[in-house]
This record gives sequence, structure tokens and C-alpha cells, in this order.
Amino acid sequence: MEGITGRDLVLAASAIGAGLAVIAGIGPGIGQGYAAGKGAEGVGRQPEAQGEIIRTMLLGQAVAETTGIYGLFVAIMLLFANPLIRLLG
Amino acid sequence: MESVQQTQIKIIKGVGILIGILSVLSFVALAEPKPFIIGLVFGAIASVLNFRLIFLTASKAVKLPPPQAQTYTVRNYLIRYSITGVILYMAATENHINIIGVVIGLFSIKWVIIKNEILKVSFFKDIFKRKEEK
Repeated sequence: MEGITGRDLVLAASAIGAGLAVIAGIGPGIGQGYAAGKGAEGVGRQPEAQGEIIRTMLLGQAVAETTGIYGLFVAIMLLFANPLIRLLG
Repeated sequence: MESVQQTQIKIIKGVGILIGILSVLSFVALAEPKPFIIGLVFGAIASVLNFRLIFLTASKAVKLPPPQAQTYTVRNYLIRYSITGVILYMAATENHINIIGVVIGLFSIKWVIIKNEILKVSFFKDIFKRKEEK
């Protein structure tokens, strides 16, 4: 423990934080998959509504996808452009 | 109701307009707007391509059996997620691209969808009306 500096601690905590932040990407993936499954069921039941189902899915998935990008952005900032390191001087 | 094609064109046009407005604003607000504008354009192009990929995935997924549609969509989502990761990594490591600009460009599609599809004028007009009046 003696050799650990503040910088090392920040780097280690940033790596753990980046790993945790990427977990945010799992949610939209599961959600999009579930929506696609239900969309396929809907088209099977009512084929004439295919255009409307695709349109709704497209908009919903585009909005959901950005939620995952938040986590990815935080992770990449912590790993490659860490603002906390600059604070240490 | 609009077709899928019309919706896509409307949203892509909306992203273009939003990026144009933000670029003009950055000229006024920032001392060095060039990296920010490059980032904005880079992020917007990536988000439009992602949007197109979502459309291709969705239009194929609805023709598959539900369990296969689920796995197909998740697999394509992970590919898109990786592409976004590469874009953000490039923005974080390159000095001439502003990462905040890239992130705003990536999120622009969400704001345009929310503006076009959720925040409609009719929604606010009808919000205080009683059910019987609608």
C-alpha cells in the first residue's frame, strides 16, 4: 500500500467506474431485442400494419440507443480523456 | 400517418437543421469553433448512419420468427454500439475533434425525434382540454 499514489488510486477507480458505466449498454440491447420480438409477433398477427410497426420500432429504438451511448461516453472519458487526472496536477 | 421513408427523411433533415443552428451558435459562443463543428458534423453523420442501420435491422427483424428477431436485433445493436465506441474513442484521442461536439451530434437524432414525435403542438393544445371536448 505504501507505493500507491493518488494518481494510481484515481486511475484504478476510473477503470472500475468505466466498467460499471458500460453496464448501461446492456439495458437498451435487451429492450430493443424484446421490442423486435414483439414487433415480429405483431406483424405475424396483422401483416397490413407492418409499415406502422417498423416506424414505431425505428423511433423507439433510436431513442433507446442514445441511453446506452451515455454510459459509453462516460466510460471512454474515464479511460482516454480522464478529467480527474488533470485535477491532480 | 407518414410512411417509414417520409419519417426517415424528416428526421435526417431535422438533424441537418439542428447541426446547422448549433454550428452558427458555436461561431458566436466559442473562441475556437472549428474542432467543435468538426465534432458536431462527425457525430451527426455517425448518428444518421446508425439510424439507417436501425431501420435496416428493424425491417428485417419483423419478418423473422420472434426468438430469431430478438437475437438478430441484439446482435446488430452490439455492432452499432461497438461502432459508436470506436467513434467516441477517436474523438477522445484526436486533438482536432471536440468530444463534446461528437456527443451532441450523436444525441441530435434523439432530440429531433422527441421534438417531431412527442412535443407536438396538438399535444400542448389538448393538454388542458376535458376528455368530452376532445
